[in-house]
Amino acid sequence: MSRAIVFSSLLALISLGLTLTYLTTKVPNFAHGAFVAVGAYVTLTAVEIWQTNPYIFLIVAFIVGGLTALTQYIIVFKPLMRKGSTVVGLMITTIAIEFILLAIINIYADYLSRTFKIRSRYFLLSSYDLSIGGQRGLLFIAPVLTACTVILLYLILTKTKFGVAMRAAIESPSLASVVGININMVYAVSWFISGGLGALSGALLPLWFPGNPDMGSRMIVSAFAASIIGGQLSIYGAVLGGFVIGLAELLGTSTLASWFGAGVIPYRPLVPLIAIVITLLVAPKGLMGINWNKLLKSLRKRVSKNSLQARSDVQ
Amino acid sequence: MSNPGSSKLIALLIIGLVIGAGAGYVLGGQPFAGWYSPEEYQTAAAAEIAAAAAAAAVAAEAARTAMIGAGFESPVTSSITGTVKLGGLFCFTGALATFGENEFEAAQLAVTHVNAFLDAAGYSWDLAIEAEDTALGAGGDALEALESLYARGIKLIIGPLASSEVRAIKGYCDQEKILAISQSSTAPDLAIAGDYIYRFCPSDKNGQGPALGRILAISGIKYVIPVTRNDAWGTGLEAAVKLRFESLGGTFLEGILYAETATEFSLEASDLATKVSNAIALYGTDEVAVLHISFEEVTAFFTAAAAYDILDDIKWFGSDGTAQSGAMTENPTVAAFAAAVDYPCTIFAPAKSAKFEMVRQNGQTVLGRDPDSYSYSVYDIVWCYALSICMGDSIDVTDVRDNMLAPGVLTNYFGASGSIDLDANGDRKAGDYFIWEITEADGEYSWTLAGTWILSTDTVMWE
Repeated sequence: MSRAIVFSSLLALISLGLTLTYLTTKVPNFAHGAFVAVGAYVTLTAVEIWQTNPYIFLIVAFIVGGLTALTQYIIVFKPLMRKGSTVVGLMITTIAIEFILLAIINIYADYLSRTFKIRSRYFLLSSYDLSIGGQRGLLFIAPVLTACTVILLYLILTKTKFGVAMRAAIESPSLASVVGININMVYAVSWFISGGLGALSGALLPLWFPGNPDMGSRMIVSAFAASIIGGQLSIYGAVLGGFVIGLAELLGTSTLASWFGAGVIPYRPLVPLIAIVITLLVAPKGLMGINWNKLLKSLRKRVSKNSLQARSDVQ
Repeated sequence: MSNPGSSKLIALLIIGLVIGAGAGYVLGGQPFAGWYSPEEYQTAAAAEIAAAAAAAAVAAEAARTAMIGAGFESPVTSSITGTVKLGGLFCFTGALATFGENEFEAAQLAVTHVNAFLDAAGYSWDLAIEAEDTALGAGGDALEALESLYARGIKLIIGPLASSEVRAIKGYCDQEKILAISQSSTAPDLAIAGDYIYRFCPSDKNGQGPALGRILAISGIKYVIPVTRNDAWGTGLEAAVKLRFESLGGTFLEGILYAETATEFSLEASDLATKVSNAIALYGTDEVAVLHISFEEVTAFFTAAAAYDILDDIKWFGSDGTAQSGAMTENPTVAAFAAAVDYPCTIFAPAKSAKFEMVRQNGQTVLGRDPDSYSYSVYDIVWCYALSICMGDSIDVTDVRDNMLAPGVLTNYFGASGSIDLDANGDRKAGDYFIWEITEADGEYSWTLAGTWILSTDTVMWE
């Protein structure tokens, strides 16, 4: 259960960043996993080279991840969007960027290994975690960090001028630019935040799961599933989706394994894929896109209709 | 009309490339300002190396000189000129990254020594390695890497490491007549005569399988729960151990087969805890053991397993996939769990000699750790290729292969891993196996040689 909570919390952060870029530029960013790996290597550097606690370097990881995403936006996306590139074209570009970032991270991992003689692949930093009440610190810190991030984002988006401008730009970029909102600035900041959130999650992942240059790429399917389940146009849905997918992957597979044997465990990666299919078929706008009031009303109507029918049958 | 925006972009790209290249050149091997210098990290290692060299009473330079020769009175003549390239399929990233790094450094050391020998002997060619990353378990493709080497005209290959990778390239090698010598592929089903794959390590069917089966029996274990990596090597080794163990009266219980791409094992650990609990209830703790056949994903598995108290109530056994793994001793949680369950791991035992010590010291100098047993085989693979080329004055694959096999180079060659005697399938004949365990001393965890399984007597000599 503890691993499920940690995994879900960190997955929620990743999918939150992914949804943010989709909200603004309407492009699913396949390079988002690389930001996760960037965060992990910031933590590795801090812990092994500077011998500091990994939690102190979270802000550095956020900034480095944010700058990486911002660079991607400024150098690649902005010019391509200005030239009128299609969504499909931009999506394919993100795949190319993912390869480039993965190569850069691998080069950095080689540099760490050769120069500082530290393990830079399949590294596990669990021994650097804090202990809180006899339990590993990340068990408490991960969900708290996710909650704080959501609250902070809510405050920024609803209580600040910039946040309101961002929401306006998301709703209608053309109208927002007419009223004087700098759309490019809004997009740039949202990409920065997106990359930062990915890196934030990546900075904590090696405290529980092995770190590797491709660790983010391995989680990208789960992140997309979380984003789709929650609702691709809702950042709160992304968090909800993260917990749904994270718990389903770990607890759901564990339950199935207890019923059908350990042979189902290797099929764990199917869980997010099946979730994507079901969501797109049943509720394409995700959980946050469902009109719950209407659904509850129709369910109540059906229940009362059935009970009336049952009473009349008895009479 | 030129677009000022795209001109700026191109200019920025060029500037970025120039800065990046310059930074890479300047920083190559240099830490960023304000960080601890590499020397500070290497000072302690250098002291240990010096102490080890003194203790072993081996002068690396003397050994090198003795091996390569002091020179020839009259230079040999050879029709080969230029650089002869060997292809290296190493796992630099992925589940065997530590082993890949170790073995690449051993190969580089061999190339240095070979070239010194060739120069002293008057040959007008030299040797070089072109390495490709097979990235086992990290999205890599050994066959693709091999095709890339073959496209450059390279047909003499070192590696690959893993049996699954050997299986992937075998058909292509046989078809295109590419000679590949693997230092560490041990899967029994790849012991095939007449193909273009040779292995300078014993097959698990004849070596590690019987060794582990005997070690389990000697340790008083009667019931084994296998936890196996689902690839050619893992399943082959499990089958070999099971065959031997059951012939000695033991029983294999239902185990766990996990995907080779898995990196998170909470589900497997939970399931294993249930199985172990049931087994202990039936048979007691002394007669039940876990046989864990894994690569370096063992760190993630042990981290998950450490959460279950019942899992350290019984003994665990490992294999060459984890023996001497630096990843385990560097993580206190993993090391503590391994020490608690003993976790004896077998690995092929190279014969110790001055050449062995030279390769070991090189590993310490370059990477700060002792290389794994298969690094010594890599060193020998490079030398065997070079000597075979010299013998036949030819880089043709068939000539190199024929000159290498008995009564060729291998007949008299004694290398860093000892004598290399191949069986009819082109695999090294079985030998002794070291048994390594993680032990704790003064709060530090390290691999300690616990014993050796002796092939000739099928017994274990404990340290």
